[in-house]
Amino acid sequence: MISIKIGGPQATVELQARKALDGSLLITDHKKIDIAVVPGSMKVTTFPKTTSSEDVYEFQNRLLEMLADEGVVDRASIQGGNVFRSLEGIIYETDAVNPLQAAVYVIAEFIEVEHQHEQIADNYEKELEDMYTHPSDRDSTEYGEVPQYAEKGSMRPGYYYYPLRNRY
Amino acid sequence: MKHNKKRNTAFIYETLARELTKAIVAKSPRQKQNIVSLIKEHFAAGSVLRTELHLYQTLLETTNIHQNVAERILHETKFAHSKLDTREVFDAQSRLIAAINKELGKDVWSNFVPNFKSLASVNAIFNSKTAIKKKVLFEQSMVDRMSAQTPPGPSTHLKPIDNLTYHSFIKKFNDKYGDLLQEQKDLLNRFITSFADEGFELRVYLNEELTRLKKEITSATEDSTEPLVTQKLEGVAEYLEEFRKREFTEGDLNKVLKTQELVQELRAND
Repeated sequence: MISIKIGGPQATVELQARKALDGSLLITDHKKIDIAVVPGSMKVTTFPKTTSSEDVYEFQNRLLEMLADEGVVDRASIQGGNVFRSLEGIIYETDAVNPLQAAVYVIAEFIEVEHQHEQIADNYEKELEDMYTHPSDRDSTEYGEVPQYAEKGSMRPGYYYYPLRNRY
Repeated sequence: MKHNKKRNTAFIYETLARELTKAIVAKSPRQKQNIVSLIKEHFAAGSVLRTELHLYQTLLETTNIHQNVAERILHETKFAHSKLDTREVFDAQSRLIAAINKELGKDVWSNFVPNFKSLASVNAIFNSKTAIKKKVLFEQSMVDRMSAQTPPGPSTHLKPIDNLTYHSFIKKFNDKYGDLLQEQKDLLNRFITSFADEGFELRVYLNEELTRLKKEITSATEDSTEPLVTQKLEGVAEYLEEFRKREFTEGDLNKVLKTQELVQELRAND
């Protein structure tokens, strides 16, 4: 008798990742942090990218908080790692689902959310720059539209200002 | 005598070649096309500028020959140049200069040409207005350069290695590094390849390995009955703890390798 099992994977994710020699999954999608899923010690560990010059703790913390919120990582286990600026958390072990796959799924969700936030921040920055470099008609005048005057502001032609005169 | 670089055909050609390189690097197909068209038009086969350029190249690109031959080449080149119609060359240059200014802009003339001095020397040799004394000196210098014997450079070919050398190398390597512990090999392996992923895999490995080392050292400290050994082990534990507060550097590699060996020894003594 042949039994046929129906159904494929419940979900698939696409990540820039590779497997290390010890079986760790190294995920490099995020612009600021590197994320490692270590099956040997059942940990998710994050490190700042060597290129990121700013403080990346917020990104690391957000990831591990999200993993804890989704019930993948033990919140009490979140701590600084043995390597400088690393943050890690221990993945819950269970037979009901593959905990490593669950962790990778949540990490992919986190990267997607962060990517959207980054896009919003980038767009805002671009709009701000455009506001200064390409102002609208309402916020600008044509060249020559406002005539020049002989005197502008506090600068008076021919008048030499002696700030300390009559003081000493 | 002042050298007018725009009246030096080889200089114009060299400048155009550099501008073409700039256009290719800057991925500017339109500029590239303009330059190629100019070169094709003004340096076409049989054109007077092409002929003059060839004479320049004959003098500039000839090296490692006997002095007599160099003198003869110089003489013949000068003779060939004297046969060119000066008026025709001047007009062709004027047309090319005008076309460059119009099509490419005057900035082209500020391109740096490294062999400018050599080009100016050849120009002075060909120029009938150059003072005789200077001309002779330039010619002598040109002959010296053409006849200078340049020593052959170091061989770029890799020497074939015979089996004996290869086996000797392998033996020496194994003698030196063969008795490394597996964890030491793993650490070295990741350290060596860390340039490829900016040290990501190395940091993941270190994070785990330092946990193991700390655990082993702490356990050994608790079990130790000798105060001096306990004190030293505590020092090692403190050192490992430092990696939480600072980056791992190349200088730390040796110490971590030694700590791995120490842990192995402690385990063997249990």
